[in-house]
Amino acid sequence: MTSIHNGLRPVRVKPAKLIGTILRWCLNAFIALLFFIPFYWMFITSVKTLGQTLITPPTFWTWDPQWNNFSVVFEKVDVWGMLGNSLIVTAGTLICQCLTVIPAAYAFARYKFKGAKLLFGITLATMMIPSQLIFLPVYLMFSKWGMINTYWSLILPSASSAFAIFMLRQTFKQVSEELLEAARLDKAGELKIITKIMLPLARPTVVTLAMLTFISIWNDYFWPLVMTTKADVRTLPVGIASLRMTESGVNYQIMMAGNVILVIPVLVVFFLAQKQIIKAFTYTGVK
Amino acid sequence: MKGKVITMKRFASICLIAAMMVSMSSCASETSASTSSASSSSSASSSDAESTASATDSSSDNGGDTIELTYWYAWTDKIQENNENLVAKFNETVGAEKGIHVTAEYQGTYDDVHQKLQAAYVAGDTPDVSVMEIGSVGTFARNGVLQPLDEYFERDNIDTSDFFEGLMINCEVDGHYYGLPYLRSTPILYMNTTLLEQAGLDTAGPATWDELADYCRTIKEKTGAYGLSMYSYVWTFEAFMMEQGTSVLNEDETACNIDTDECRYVMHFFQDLINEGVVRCVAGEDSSKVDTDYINQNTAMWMTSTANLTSVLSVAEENGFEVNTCYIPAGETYGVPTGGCNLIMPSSLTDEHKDAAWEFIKWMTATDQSAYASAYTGYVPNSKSAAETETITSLWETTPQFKVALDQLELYGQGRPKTTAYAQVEDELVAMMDACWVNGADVDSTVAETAATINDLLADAN
Amino acid sequence: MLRMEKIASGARIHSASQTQLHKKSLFSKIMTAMRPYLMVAPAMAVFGVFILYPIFYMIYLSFFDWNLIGDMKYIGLENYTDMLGDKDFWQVLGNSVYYMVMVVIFEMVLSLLLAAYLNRNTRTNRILQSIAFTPYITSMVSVAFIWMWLMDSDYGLLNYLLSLVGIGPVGWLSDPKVAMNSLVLVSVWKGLGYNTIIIISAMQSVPGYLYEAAALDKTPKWKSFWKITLPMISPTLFFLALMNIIAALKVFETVNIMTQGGPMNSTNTLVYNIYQYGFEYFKIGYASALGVALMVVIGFFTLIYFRVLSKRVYYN
Repeated sequence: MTSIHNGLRPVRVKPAKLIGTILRWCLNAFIALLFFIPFYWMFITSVKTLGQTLITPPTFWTWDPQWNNFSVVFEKVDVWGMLGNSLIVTAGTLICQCLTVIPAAYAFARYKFKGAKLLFGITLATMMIPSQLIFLPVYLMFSKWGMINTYWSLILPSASSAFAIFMLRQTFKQVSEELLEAARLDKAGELKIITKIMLPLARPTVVTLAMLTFISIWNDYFWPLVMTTKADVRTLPVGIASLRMTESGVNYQIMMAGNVILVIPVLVVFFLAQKQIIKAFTYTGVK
Repeated sequence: MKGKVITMKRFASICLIAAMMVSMSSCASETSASTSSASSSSSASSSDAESTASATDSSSDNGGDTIELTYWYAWTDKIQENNENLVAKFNETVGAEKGIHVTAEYQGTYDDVHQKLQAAYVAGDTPDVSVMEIGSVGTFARNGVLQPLDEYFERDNIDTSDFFEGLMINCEVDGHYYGLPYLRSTPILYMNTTLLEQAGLDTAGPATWDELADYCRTIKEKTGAYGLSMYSYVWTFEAFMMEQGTSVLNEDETACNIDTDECRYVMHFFQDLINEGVVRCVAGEDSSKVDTDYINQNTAMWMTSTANLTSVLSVAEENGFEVNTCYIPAGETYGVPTGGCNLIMPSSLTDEHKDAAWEFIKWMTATDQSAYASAYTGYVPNSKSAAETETITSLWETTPQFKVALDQLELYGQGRPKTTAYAQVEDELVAMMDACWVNGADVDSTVAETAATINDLLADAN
Repeated sequence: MLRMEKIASGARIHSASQTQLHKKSLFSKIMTAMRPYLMVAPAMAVFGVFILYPIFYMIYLSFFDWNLIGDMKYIGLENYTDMLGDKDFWQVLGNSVYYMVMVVIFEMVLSLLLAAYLNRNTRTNRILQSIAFTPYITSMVSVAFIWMWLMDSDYGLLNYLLSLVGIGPVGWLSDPKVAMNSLVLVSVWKGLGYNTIIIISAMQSVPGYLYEAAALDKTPKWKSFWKITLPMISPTLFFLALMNIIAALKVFETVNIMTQGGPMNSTNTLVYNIYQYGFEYFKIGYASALGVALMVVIGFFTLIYFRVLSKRVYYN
């Protein structure tokens, strides 16, 4: 950046800049392909024949797509039933979380009460405990209660969320006290304050949290795997994962067809609500 | 508010529909029950005297009500079809006669069945009959999950000597019978005879380990394909040990025979062939590679269960090669473990359900059904009488490959270990094979280490 | 149980206060005092029953020998002595820690680089961010399936691409020296987009005047990145690293689907090991002891992290 360079700029820097642009585009393409190719490979494999999956060099395109692979998946896995289970569990979890998270967040944000600090501390501490740590005792509890293979075993353990309480509390705290005082003067009950003032104001946060819960429950494999044994309550990821185990060897084209079925809804939702979803996840990382 | 009203209406109508469906289905089951009792009188005359006798016993017990049983089975495809077909047949015939209706439920792999069965037992929600991989019978029986069947055997004069001896070993634990052999198998050697001919080899297959080594070298040299493709598999390892005149565990299952010359010989024998590049061994969790190898004609020989025979033959036909089978080649001697599953019932059932479950187990493992299952899937017939049925003898004429497994079983079939620690022991054995055969670890030290670990596990279990 | 009674009595008080208006002052006083507790009660009940109680139950179980079916036998610390004396345990623990360290290092470094590269708010960069983010919202099952297929040692795309540049087949999932690194790769690939986007949003919230000042001083770009950007975004990096540590310690899906802990136990991690002992070997007590060990490991790293690193992190 010395003056000599500056003087030469019109003559010399242009090709350098061109090279820079080319390099940049190469790098861009590399990044895009790095994340795109695995998905492409899944799609293309899902319409190959078994024979086509077992040749080297592999084929990158097929003119004769085997849609039949998908019907095989539907034969082996009760896709619709499990999709229904996924919906029930996700909706159930969302409803439960609304009922537990909103009042708790409101109480932590707006009341001073004895033990509030302790309870809030416990809430935060539970964030550090992954479900993978405690699945065994929870499993034993549910089996003692005869609740293995019920939706409850999938919904109840995530019926509240420390993270959501924490986030919503922050939002509730930002609501000005005057607004609430005004409402109280109008003799508005607490319930009314929450539903008519707090929630509308916290709407972006609530939507964000709901989205995060939805994605994590929808995609979850671990919990439904350990808590259930019967296909009629298992969720779709567990069902698709079972395609891996067949006694007649691995059929990657079938596995990938199942995988496409599992991925498509998420991808569609992602491309429709890309901005909001990315914003939602960004939200988890800031603060 | 309007929305709420509508949803309430919709909710009500859904309830109504649901109620209607329930009442309809109960009507349907009533009518099916009455038609089945009508048909039972006609079919009763055709069935043998013994079952009619017990039919009258049991029908007097439960006064016409149908007992609903659930039956858990593993695996899909041919095996699933076989299970569903047999259950349907049972429901139409003996089940209808005796007021028993069985619902078959697919549960995944054997491991899935075992895990689910345990969970169900703890939760008090077991199926009435289930398949059980024979290696797990010991664990479940010793923990009291399984109903001993001795009194039922006695009551119905079950002739245990009709079943092949090698198959009954894992039905018995500590002097009691806990099941009857159902879909049972042994490992056999499969050969792509098209490749063998190309290599100028006898398509009857290798008879000894030395011949096996020669075969592998010749095949590799002449065709470029591997002689043998295998994976770290406990079941075939058990066979190798038997053929060297020993077994994985000692007689009373208190220690293992891993740190022995025989075991070291087994490990070295295959390691050498693998190092030469004429045998390929993949890791335990890569077992599917063996399938792709034989489908692609990338290997001329492979070892797997007799149960796969039907599907192997159809794959071979699709891909244009011929298949033959032979005994796993002999070391010091021939010898194979048996495998597959028995039918069991949990101890937690009510007496009424136990009686019904026993009728189902007895029927499923009886001569005709065993012959049917064997022909349909490739599992071995479980009894001498089943092997003599026309279904089986005519099958052997058209597809002689089927007979190999049974001969091998009859002559050399043995049991599998029964100790509760065996699930863990198996994992150790797989790790040992992975180490020596896939990753070229030193045999002697690996074997010594594995033996020590396994002996600890066995000591803990006793 | 106590909590449930609290809720019940609270509800009674609540309804009573509405019907008996003349007693309102007394009831409303009690109610006002009780209200916050009632409001946090459902959430606390969930945490209590499904997180806190299970932890104590797990610790309790770790003193027993139990196969789920038979009788529970108290054996004191035997599970722990067995565990500490078992070389497999140390291998599994080592695997978990190795996996965690590798994931955290690669995830942090790569996402920092990618964030620096994609930091400028242009259309192309936003599209690239979205593309990189896609794996993060797809389920781990899908990602594991895809990579299992890409990493197939005979017919996988990766080995084919390597063969084009003359590199022999890699046993991505079958070579014990490689397999764990393959799982690290999958995890980093899946999480890269998320970490990048978080870092970018942190970078973009760094006040512009700091850079302007640096520009006036003619500070080179890399230096202003080092001296301004990094310290300013360090709280975010700190948070991300902690999240990655915990996420890495609870890895299960890829292990279960892609390697099942093999080959030769080389990818067996603590969570998968607990699963094996609990659901395959039916040794509940030992599995619980492993769970306690995992808890200690998580606690240890969380503490270390807060203690050592928080001192170096720039706080505004």
